Amino acid sequence: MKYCIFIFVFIFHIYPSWAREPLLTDVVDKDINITASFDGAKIVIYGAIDTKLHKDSILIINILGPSSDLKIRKKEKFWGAWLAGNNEMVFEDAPGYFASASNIDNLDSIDDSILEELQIGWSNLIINTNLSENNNIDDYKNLLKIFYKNRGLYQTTSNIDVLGETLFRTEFLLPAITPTGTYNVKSFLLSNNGKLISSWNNSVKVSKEGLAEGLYDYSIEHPFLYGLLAALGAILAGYIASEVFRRI
Amino acid sequence: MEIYLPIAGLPINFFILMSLGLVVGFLSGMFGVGGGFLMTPMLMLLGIPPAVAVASEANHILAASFSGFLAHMRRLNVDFLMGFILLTGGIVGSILGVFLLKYLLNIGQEKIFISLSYIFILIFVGAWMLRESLSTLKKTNKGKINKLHEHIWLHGLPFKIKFRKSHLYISIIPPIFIGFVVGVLSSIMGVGGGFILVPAMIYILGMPTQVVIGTSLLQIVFVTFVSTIMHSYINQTVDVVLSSLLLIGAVIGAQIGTRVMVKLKGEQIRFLLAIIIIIVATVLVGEILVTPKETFIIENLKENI
Repeated sequence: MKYCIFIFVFIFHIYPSWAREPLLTDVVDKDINITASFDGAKIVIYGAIDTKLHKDSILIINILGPSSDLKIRKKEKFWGAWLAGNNEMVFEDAPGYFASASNIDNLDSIDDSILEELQIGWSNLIINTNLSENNNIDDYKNLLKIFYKNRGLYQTTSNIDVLGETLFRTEFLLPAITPTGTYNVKSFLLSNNGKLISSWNNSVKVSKEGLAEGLYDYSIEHPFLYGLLAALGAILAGYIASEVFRRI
Repeated sequence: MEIYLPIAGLPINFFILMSLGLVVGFLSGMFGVGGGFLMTPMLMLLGIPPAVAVASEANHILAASFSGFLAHMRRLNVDFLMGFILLTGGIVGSILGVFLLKYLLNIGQEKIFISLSYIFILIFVGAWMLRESLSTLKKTNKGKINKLHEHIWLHGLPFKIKFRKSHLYISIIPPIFIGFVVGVLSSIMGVGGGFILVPAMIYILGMPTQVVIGTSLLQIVFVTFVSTIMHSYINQTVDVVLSSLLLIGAVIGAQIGTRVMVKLKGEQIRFLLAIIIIIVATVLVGEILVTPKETFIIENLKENI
């Protein structure tokens, strides 16, 4: 059943241009709205590979969420107590979500240099830092990965289902806390000897909608008034409760 | 029933927030403490980013303490003069605290020292209060009548003023100094300081316990009013959906807390507060001794992602 829409889209959307591109991908829902009842979402990606030309090719899809600057501080033990210490670093423009999927189980067979060049996978992702000497950047990057994993913001369990030899489909889960902004979907088609055949980019926009959007925008555009109204609202609530209770 | 919080950026169960608010409001009305000590860890446990938790809490505590403050004011349990003198010291202290924090962050390790000192102060204050209230409870049971309050040398300093509500004629230097220390502490630790302020007003200034609670709430109303606006203006981290859900429970809890409190004697309130302070200190000690699940902290520098 889930392939119905997929075949339909394939025939009318992908097939006409297939002849020109060895790899084509698209996303089912390009606009994900966060409403008052938002509880996570799914990014569904489908596409086609021109396998007539490239047998046993490798398909990899990475998703990078909207970026932000993150400060990581390590906790250390002082006389048996765990406290935030002095070891810290800042990641500049680090993706707020990361996911990876492939049609093969592991990418070990592929030459590292090509993965590095294309920045495929978390370990090959280049994130700028505030340090001039990046001596233990991998260490901090690993902490960030653990942080994301614990919150569902890092996903590598997805596999790409290939239907027949040409059509594929995969999906990624976005947790409820997923950041808002643009998610870049980067698809790569590699030959079985590890050469890049083709790549394709899509994007998905996650944005707040309705009351959530209104309040959020107001807090950014009029921070002082927002704060003042919040404070006055709290005073009013306190007053109402006090009046109500006086009459009971 | 899940509701999405626009600033915190995640959905949370409505009933959990309501009951959390109720408990904190009750403690606030009963003991004159803000309740941030309970709220911050609970909200962080629910997955709310620390900066949003602290800021939205200030807004919700404002509602709870104002609700409690009005209830105490009706019972004439607020010493306005004392409140404003403490506040003056508090404002100077918290401004200085912000600069001090900057300096401390530059030299590093000192913040750990302050965290540990705070815990030690809590344990000490809690233990002392427990001992005092227990011995007073015993004495009252035997029928002995206590003096109104002990006079200590601090009260005899110059600039004496009559505090009618508190039945005191003391120098204004100790209240200014206490307000100042609590102000510095709240800037550095990010805690309201009720746990230090309330015992200090009882034992150092010698105010009647009932008046202490109302006056402490007056102080908290001012501090949280200003900090709600500041957090919103500087960091945009006040989530009004979150604070509204919390304050529904809180304003009701504060009224109930006040009603329970007026039925109790001063030493009974002090006894209960001592127990709560000791529990909080124990939890804080436990928190830093147990190996955390994540041995690191990640802050988002652009909170508006």
